[in-house]
Amino acid sequence: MFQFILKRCLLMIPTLLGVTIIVFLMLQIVPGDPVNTILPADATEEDRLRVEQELGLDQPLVVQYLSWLGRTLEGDFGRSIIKQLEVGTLLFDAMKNTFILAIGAAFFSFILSLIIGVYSAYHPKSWIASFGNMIGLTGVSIPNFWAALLLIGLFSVILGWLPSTGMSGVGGGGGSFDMLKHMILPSIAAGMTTLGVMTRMIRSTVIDLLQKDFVITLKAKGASSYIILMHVLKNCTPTILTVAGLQFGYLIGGSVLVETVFSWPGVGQLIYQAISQRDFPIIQAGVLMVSIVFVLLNLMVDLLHAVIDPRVRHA
Amino acid sequence: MENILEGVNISKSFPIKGFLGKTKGTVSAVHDVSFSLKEQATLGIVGESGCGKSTLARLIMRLIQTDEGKVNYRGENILNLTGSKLQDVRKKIQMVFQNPYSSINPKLSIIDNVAFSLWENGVPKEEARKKALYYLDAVGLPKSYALRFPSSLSGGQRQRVAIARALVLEPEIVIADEAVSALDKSVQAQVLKLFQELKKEFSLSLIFISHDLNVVEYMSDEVMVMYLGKVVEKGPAVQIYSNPHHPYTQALFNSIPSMEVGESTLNNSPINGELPSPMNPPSGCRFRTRCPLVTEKCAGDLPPNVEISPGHTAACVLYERVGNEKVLS
Amino acid sequence: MITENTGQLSNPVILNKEEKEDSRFKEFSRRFLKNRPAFLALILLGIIVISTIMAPIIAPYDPYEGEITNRLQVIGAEGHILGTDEQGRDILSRILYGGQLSLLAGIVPVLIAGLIGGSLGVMAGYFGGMINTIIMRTLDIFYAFPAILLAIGISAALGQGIDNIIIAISIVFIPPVARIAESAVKEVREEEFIEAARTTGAKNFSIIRYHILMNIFSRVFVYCTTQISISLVLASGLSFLGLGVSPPTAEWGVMLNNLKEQIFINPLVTVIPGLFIFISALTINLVADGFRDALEIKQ
Ligand SMILES: Nc1ncnc2c1ncn2[C@@H]1O[C@H](COP(=O)(O)OP(=O)(O)OP(=O)(O)O)[C@@H](O)[C@H]1O
Ligand SMILES: [Mg+2]
Repeated sequence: MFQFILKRCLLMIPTLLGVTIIVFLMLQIVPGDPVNTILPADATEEDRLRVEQELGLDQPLVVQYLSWLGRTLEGDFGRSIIKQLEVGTLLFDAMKNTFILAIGAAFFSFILSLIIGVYSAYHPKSWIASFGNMIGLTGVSIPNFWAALLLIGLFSVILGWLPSTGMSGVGGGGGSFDMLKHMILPSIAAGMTTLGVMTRMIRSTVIDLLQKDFVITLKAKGASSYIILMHVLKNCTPTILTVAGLQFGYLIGGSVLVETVFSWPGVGQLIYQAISQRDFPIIQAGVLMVSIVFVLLNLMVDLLHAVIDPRVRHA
Repeated sequence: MENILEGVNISKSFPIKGFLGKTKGTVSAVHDVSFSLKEQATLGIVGESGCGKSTLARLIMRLIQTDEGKVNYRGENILNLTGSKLQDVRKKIQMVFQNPYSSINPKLSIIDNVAFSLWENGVPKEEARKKALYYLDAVGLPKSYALRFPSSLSGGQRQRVAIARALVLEPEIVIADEAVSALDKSVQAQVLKLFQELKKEFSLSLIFISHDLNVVEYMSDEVMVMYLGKVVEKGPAVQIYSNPHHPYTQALFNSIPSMEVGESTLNNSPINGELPSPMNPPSGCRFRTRCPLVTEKCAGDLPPNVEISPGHTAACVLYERVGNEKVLS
Repeated sequence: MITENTGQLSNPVILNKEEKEDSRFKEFSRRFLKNRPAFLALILLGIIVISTIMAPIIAPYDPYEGEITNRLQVIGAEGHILGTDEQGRDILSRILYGGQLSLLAGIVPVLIAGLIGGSLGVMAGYFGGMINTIIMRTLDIFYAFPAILLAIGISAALGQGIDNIIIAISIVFIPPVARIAESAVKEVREEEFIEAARTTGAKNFSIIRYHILMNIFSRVFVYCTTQISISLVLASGLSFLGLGVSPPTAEWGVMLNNLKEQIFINPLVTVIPGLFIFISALTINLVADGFRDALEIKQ
């Protein structure tokens, strides 16, 4: 087991290096001279050279990359061009909020998909099963930013039940109940795709299991349906956990659009603002940070899978 | 008669790759194999699964590179030919593969499966199709099948397509690697008969590979018995079948239900023990771990190739003393 | 490649055309037509696509001209079936014109990724060894990014514009297409007909063309069709973030972006553009599922 962990961790290093290279190159393809965004319009040629030197832009690309990588490893993500703040600090708070939203969305989608998925596997002719089918199809087709707008239109504007922006009410003193209320709509919107994917997956996994010999034997022995259900759930846990783990990764990375609609102060919102202000250090660091989290989450899923299902270790 | 094809001391081993591409060891698939095929004769190769029959065929076809040895076609080593010379020889030696479900392209029509070889050799498409049709007819497929796709054909019919494809380049030598083992018994008989007929009609020399002793007996003039990548016995088919010498050949003949009654005069022991791993084959004689007549000498040197009678050799220490070939029975 | 195939068959050197075997295409259509939802989805999708292409003819208004006094009309308003937007422009007309770009941004990246990713995958799968390692390990790195974030990063760096969105999404889709193609090629490469072709001295190029491509085509094709809906949603998402066309050009994503500010005045104003993205993606998904089932491909 220890060897397996070590192997997986070692294999992650080239991936992470590759990620940093791509993120670094991303900034290189930005059209126009980055110096222009820093200098005032009336800057002289001397000013320009000085700034270029300060930023190390006169160095070869490889040197630039290495020094950028070095700074990044030390946790120095540079300064926001517009906000004039440490990108690191900005990102750290935003990441926390993104996590909160991802947890909310995961909570909503995992539980609902489990209920709908298992139920419709058991009762394929019921209306819930048809509903599950619809959810599955809708989930993978609906743009989540549109779902967000629809939810706001209905629940905030027309019905006035739930807030539509931010993490807390005016004044910010609402406490955790206030935050929960703010979380509901974004969580639903962000969790839509996951709900669809997981409902489909859970249903087909459970249907497969219900046809397995051991379930038929249990039935023949006269086991209660509760006991059978427990057996089935136990057997599909590894699959569900793996998919759930990956989906959580997508929720972290994929909520950019939902965050912007709800003005949820997460990484997505930060990146959105940065795009309109052409604040590239933030975009770069944001993409990098989320990707690293994504890679780590995938690693955790792999390891978890190996713990539950020892066959994986030897594959 | 002249030898049209000769193998001289052919060896091939495959590296086995482990984690991160490290070589964990090698499989000695074919080791120091020599054979000869006479013009318009049939050489049968028998042996258990994994003994290197297909590897030998692939080596002859130059589908894989030999480690050592030569393959002489009409006296010329073809293993280091390149370019157009290689192309010429390729046309002379064609192969029919084991699995008719894998050996023809399901996405090309029957006729294009056959014609492909031709148009790859510069024949215009129209002409290639005409010729393909001729050979489809020769292997007994109705014309109406030509534009069908392989999925609508039975295994036997597919194998006929594969044979037509091998013949369309007008080869002199055809290597049939387990060409009938995937077919039903009744279909097997038809295809074997087809091979016999085609051989006469097109003056072919055949190398017929099979693990089925009856099939090989029916087809071959000469027989070569292989075990774990090595030749243990070879000679005229009649001799080998009536008077097998190597303990492995004897064991092999014992383990099949004989077609003729009263034929099995040999002692009735099946081959005992497991087939050793080809990754580290036994030293000396590779059969010694399972041989009922094993002696101390077997583990030492390589067994000598003893000539039992003209053209009939067995690689076994039991026959080492010249003129004392009746040690057994 | 499919037309290529039938093209060869229609060469009636010997046989009359009646006996020509095009039953495989018939079989495919028969299976597909039996799949009701997929068939209906194809019709609906066809209507949407054709309407957007014919926008200049059938659109009731100029998509760029609107009266500000007539803004934010609700659905079903007089003269404007789908209402008007924040500048009083007819939403139906803008939807029709905007659909051209939106649908294009859904399809083109998949085409590009299909070509580039497919070629890379075929090369990696066919030649194996070092070539495989270099291509596939490099592409693996892209899996470390959440797709949407990678697309955002690239198109933000390239700058605003639908063309840059298309480039960004193409890059995102190349690795998965390459993976599918590579694993399909690896499977086909083991088949004996590849060896048989090599014994005839066929060149790599012809082996790939006649034996490999034809056998992996349907798998890669089906995979690509399932990606079109994702590409469509992704493209409209990037556009929604303001990375796509610049106003006043119409495009579904950017329409949503412009209208989202008005949601507190007219809560249903965002329904229509989003609905078109959604319906298009949904029908594409259904059609892709239909293709997959009709071609009997398991993924
Ligand atoms: N490409 C390869 N890489 C590694 N090992 C191989 C390769 N091809 C064959 N071998 C090994 O070489 C040995 C001989 O294989 P080969 O296919 O020639 O046997 P065979 O006599 O044709 O068996 P069968 O009757 O099953 O077809 C086997 O142990 C096989 O595992
Ligand atoms: Mg074989």
